[in-house]
Amino acid sequence: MIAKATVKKGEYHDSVALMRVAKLLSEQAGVLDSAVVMATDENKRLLRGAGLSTPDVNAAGESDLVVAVAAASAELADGFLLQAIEALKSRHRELKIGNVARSLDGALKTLPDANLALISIAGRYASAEARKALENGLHVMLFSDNVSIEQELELKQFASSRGLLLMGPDCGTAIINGVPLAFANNVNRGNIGVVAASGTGAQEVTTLISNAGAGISQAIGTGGRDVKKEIGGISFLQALDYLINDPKTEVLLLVSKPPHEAVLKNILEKVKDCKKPVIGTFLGANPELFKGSGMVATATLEEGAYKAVESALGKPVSRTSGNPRFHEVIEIEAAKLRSSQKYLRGLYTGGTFVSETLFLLQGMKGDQHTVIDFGDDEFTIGRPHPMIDFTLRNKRILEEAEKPEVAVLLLDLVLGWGAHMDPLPELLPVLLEAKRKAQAAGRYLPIVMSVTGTDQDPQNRTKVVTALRGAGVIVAPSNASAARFARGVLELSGKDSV
Amino acid sequence: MKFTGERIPILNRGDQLREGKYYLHSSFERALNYSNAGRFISMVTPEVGSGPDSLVWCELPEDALHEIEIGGLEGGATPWMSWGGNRILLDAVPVFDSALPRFSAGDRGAFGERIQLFEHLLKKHAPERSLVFLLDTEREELFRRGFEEALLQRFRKGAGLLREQRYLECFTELRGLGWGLTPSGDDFIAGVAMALRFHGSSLDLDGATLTGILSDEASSSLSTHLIRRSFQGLICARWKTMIQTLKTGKEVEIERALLRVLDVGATSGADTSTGWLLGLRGENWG
Repeated sequence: MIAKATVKKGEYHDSVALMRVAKLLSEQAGVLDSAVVMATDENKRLLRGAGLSTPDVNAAGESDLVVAVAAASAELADGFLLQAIEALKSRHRELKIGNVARSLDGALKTLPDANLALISIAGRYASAEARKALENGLHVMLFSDNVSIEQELELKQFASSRGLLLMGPDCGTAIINGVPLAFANNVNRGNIGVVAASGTGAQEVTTLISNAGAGISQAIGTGGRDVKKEIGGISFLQALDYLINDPKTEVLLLVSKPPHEAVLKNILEKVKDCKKPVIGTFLGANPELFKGSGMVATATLEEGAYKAVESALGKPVSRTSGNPRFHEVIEIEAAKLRSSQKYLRGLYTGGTFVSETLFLLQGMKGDQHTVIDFGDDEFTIGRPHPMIDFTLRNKRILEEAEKPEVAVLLLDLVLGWGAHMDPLPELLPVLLEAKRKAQAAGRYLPIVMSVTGTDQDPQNRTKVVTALRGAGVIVAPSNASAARFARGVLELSGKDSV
Repeated sequence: MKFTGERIPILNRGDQLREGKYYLHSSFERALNYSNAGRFISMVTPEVGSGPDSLVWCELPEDALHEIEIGGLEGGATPWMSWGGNRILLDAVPVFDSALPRFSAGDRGAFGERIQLFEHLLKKHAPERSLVFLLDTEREELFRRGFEEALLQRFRKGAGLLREQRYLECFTELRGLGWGLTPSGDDFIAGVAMALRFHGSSLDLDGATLTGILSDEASSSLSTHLIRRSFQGLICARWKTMIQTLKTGKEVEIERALLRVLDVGATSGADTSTGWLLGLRGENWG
């Protein structure tokens, strides 16, 4: 064994970089032993004991960095050492290349004409940064959550006084001048303007609109709390004003959970004066509220999107639920179920879909249906969002597949920016295994999915849908269709097929 | 950018800042460290958070400042900071209180239960190559080669000494030992020191017995400084929140606080957490 070492005098690298290089070395085939440590007395003693020391190492001080490698030959050891040193250097370079700004001031120097800042930092600091952006005359998309409602109100009042728009906090989706921001999709440009107090809701309607052949002028997010009494819909009303006056927007689509009564009143007053068609999807709201408002109220995101398309293109859009084949397939699927299979399992990554599905399942018999939002705090702490990391939901899919009482698995899959870039290799084997488990127990398990996305998205919706269908998954064009399908199967189930 | 007598957006300053000139020691993406004669001041981003010797800037200067001076902290003057012809006032900047939280005897029961949860979550979230192998022996598998195996043995020995409450021997064994800019052994000792301070150990934490252990020669000066602060019961905001949630927090809050702690360095947060936990156990807490 030949040991080689180098000492980087007074060189400080952060611990993450040191650990990364240490790992890189330890994983190289041919490295017999290695160490990347500060040259403290105790570390030097251990390096000597492990045969990794050299005279340079012995002479190094506690502020010096030691990289040591043992290999079968001097040439190999030299090669590995060189790789480690390059890896340390590259870490330094990574931080300096390109237009990477460390601050808002730096970013503004790089892009002096920018008029919008997307802020995604820890919530407790986000408010100060948003304020600074607004003071610099920038519109703000505030992706961060954990901003207090008092701060939100103050920021929105300030933004509004300057004629600026604050989208958020906790604003996950926007499409501004054709550019998808945060969790958003590549969609057609067009004449439909969207105001949404719901991230997944905005993704669903914008992609459905695009897939139906129409397009988006702007999709403005507001953050879910905007329509609460405390905030008074400041951003929602501003966005509405903007789209009403925007010459490129000819149809408006509003998406939200039911706003506070006073906020809704203000929204409807604006709608009443609007000369453009306005469609509103306020999930779960009483339709009576919208009578006489001049707004076309819809119960689902799908219906909202299609009504908007019909207004924009002046021709009808066919609905899956109106297709006789839809009902035929429901009957076929239901006939395959055993009498023990009675309950739905909705396993979701998008929170708005959960609200929509719960609304569509209202009045169903049975008390053991389950609909879970895997994007809830309870599941996301310490791990990425389930649109990126499928681990927990995949585990649950397999667990549910083993339960004799489960009749239908209802799932969503959201594509686009911010979501998993290559979902199939992680998802397909799990879905196939779920079906296999049920089959091994003498059951058939229908899996119904909606896929939110477009063919312009990096994942390509058609490619994903084709692969899912190939695996026996029933893919619906929207969450509402998927939920209706699942409900249909449950309502017709109850007979043994074997 | 030029400042003259302005109040700029520094979010807060540590309560242990002292007057004097400081020189750039090390520069990282989220922290600029300055030192002078064993004293340190860190200028950090909000993500890093407050500490006894920190100035939390909304955003760090684009270029590291090579020399800074702090003044006006004593004698009722207006505190200020200057560098390269710039001078900013710090009087309106909130002061971070770095004192370790104190619990009453009545809090001990609930604290004990939450410490069990803390250990469970630490094992769940800690990075692979951290000292959490002292709590979870299955992780020892990761340390197979000569140098790492030798480190493992030393840490085991140190933890054994700690369990026997042979603190000074434990500290001597682990000082300056292991991976990272602040070696793992130092991070571990900092955790033990917090635990000892927390439950009011009879160990003379300020006395001369620790002088040798805390000498600059045993490890890097930055590391020494951080350990010294822990022995003094002066800690950063992440750890204050962590300890506070162990008194009153729900599971989700404890987990969040721990994840913030684990975000320090590659393994520093996990190493300090391990020291904290075993330090509490050494004194029959937790």
